[in-house]
Amino acid sequence: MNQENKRKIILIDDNAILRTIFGHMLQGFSQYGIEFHSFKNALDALDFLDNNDITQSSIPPILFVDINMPFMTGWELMDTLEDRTDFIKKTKIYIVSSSTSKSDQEQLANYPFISGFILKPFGKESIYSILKEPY
Amino acid sequence: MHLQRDSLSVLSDQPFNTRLEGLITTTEDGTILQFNNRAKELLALENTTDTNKIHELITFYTADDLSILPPTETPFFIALSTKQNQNEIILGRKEGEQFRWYQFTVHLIVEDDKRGLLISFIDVSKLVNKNRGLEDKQHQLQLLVASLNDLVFEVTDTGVFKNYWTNNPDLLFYTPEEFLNKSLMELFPPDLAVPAVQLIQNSLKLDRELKMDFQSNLKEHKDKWYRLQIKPIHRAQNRVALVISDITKQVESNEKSKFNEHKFNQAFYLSGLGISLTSLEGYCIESNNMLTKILGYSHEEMSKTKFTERTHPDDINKDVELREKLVKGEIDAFTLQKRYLHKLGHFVWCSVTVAAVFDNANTAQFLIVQVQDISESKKNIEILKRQKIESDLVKIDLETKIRQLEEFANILAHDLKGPLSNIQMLIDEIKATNDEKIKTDFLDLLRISGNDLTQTLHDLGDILELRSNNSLVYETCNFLTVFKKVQQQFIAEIQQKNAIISTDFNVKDIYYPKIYLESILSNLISNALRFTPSNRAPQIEIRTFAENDGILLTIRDNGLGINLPKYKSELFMFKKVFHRGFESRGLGLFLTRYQVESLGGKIDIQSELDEGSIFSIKFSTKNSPKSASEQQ
Repeated sequence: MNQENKRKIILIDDNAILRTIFGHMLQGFSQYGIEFHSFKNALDALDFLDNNDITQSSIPPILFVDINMPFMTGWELMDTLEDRTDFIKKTKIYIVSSSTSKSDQEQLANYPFISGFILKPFGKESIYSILKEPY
Repeated sequence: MHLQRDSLSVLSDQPFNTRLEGLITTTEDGTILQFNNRAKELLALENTTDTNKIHELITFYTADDLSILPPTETPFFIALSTKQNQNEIILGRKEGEQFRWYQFTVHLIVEDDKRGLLISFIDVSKLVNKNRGLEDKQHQLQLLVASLNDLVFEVTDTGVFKNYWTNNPDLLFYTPEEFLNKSLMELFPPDLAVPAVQLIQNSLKLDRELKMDFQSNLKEHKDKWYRLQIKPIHRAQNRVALVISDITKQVESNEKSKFNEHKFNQAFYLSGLGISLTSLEGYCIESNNMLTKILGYSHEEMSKTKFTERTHPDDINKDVELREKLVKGEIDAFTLQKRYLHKLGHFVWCSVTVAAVFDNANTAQFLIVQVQDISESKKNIEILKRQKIESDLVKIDLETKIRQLEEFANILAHDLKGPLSNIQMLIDEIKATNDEKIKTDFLDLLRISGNDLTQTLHDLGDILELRSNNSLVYETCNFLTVFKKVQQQFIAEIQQKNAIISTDFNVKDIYYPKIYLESILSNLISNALRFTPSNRAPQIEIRTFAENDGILLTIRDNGLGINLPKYKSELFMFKKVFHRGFESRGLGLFLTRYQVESLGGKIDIQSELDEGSIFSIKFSTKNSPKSASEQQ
């Protein structure tokens, strides 16, 4: 039951080092318990989501998603999630990318369920402020 | 009916039967009483018919129009009914198809109280027939005159008008009364009359037809042209026929054709085109200076040799074929571009337009050949074409380079920004933490990020080196030799996976940089060997074909295949990987595409997931020595 009360945080990024740094950042957050899952591509993440209903928790889970990944880009993942209305209603989704390209900024407007865009590199404060947001 | 046969004593005279005229007596109703031998002979009278009335017995015809004369209109009936003598009446009688003509004189006679007619007649057939002949001739003459628009006069040797014939009296200068029996000298101004009289006398002297043309200076005929023709009339001495014809139209059309001829001459001799009139056999009949200027031959030289001897051998057939069509009337004209052999020995490109000139019987007489020297524009077109090819190549090259630069921008954005942002974040974390363990771990990560960055820069460096590799050495590469060399690199993997590689090189050689060909084959064979499901042995077929303007190389495998609709756009991009669970830097296809495209080739793929892929590479052979020689 203890597990159930932890907030589920998922990072999907093909860069192993970023996943490590991100994990380290979350360890420094002490306000509430966190259950962290990271995936190196969106397909692996979808496999996990299909097998684990993370929306059952009382605290809404957060997805941090990179854009430029092999097999399935972040935007393609958004296309897949778009149809899962119940899931996106109960989940906060952030795009994490180093892209400053105009096309990516435009894409953002196509997915109103996305909560925000985090530009790499980022400091732990920007992650913490998201975690501290009331839910 | 009271008059008795022998009661008219006149006829009893001895000479009655010996006279040259026919004599007939009748009673007062026209019944024949007596006739002499001559009458019998002329009118073919029978003794048995003697009781008939003369105007009813014989059918008479009028001399005017050869119509049958009704009995009541005969002079006999008229004499009896009007009691007046009838003199010199000409009547005809048909004898078979011929007419015989008689001149009748009918006298009323009274003897005692008996009345009757004395009819005397002579045969005038000869005269009448001759007369009729003359009338016919006159009629024909009238018709002839009517058909002419000329004035015909009979004139004496001194120029006196004696007679005239015209179809249209309005054409006469004066009314007939004013000019008949008057001399030319009185009627016309001396500048016309003097030479006209002179002409008449000369004509008579020489007994020859003479003529002169003159322009009228009379107000009514201002600016009209006339022709005066004088012909001696042989039957009449010192008389001539003077024929005046209006030749204004002729003169005008002559003027016009003279003008046209002048225009043609101007056009012909001063033309900017070379022009020749060429016989159907191909000899030059007439040519202008421009043609000599273009081809170098004098007119005389061209008139002695056929045009085919001055034509490039490759252009003769077409030219001859078209000229034959012209002569047959199948085409009106043709224009073709051909090469003439210049007198100095080089060929001159010309645009040649040829038309045929036909006579009234539609037989071709000669050809008009117009020649324009287009060697300069030909040369320019060739230069333009070559420049176009060059600029097309440059364009393709530039487009490729632009796309490659765009890709570099993307590579910089994605593949360099990633490790860079990691480094920045790691440094921040290292600074912030007091945990020595984390510091050490993060310093390791920092080193890895640095290595990543170095690796990416190194890969980019490889590509940049490709791009700047201007000193590529082209050579004739044998596909089989290159393949065997590449195969050696993978011998371990081939044996381990029981792979079968078959080759079918329909095209055996290619003129290409060997290091590129090795690299391309190596990358594609490597992929075909690597991305295979573990449960089946790789089967790889490598083939070459000749294609329109290049060589096609295909590499077919039975591997995992690629979800093309999804990935095709990224397939040949920098650092893209498509197969989960395989170690891949995503450089192979990118480099292969780079090498192929930078030399003007193309790479493409067909693939079905889990069935395999066919990579096809189209090598452009534009740079090969063979096609280079073809272009010349």
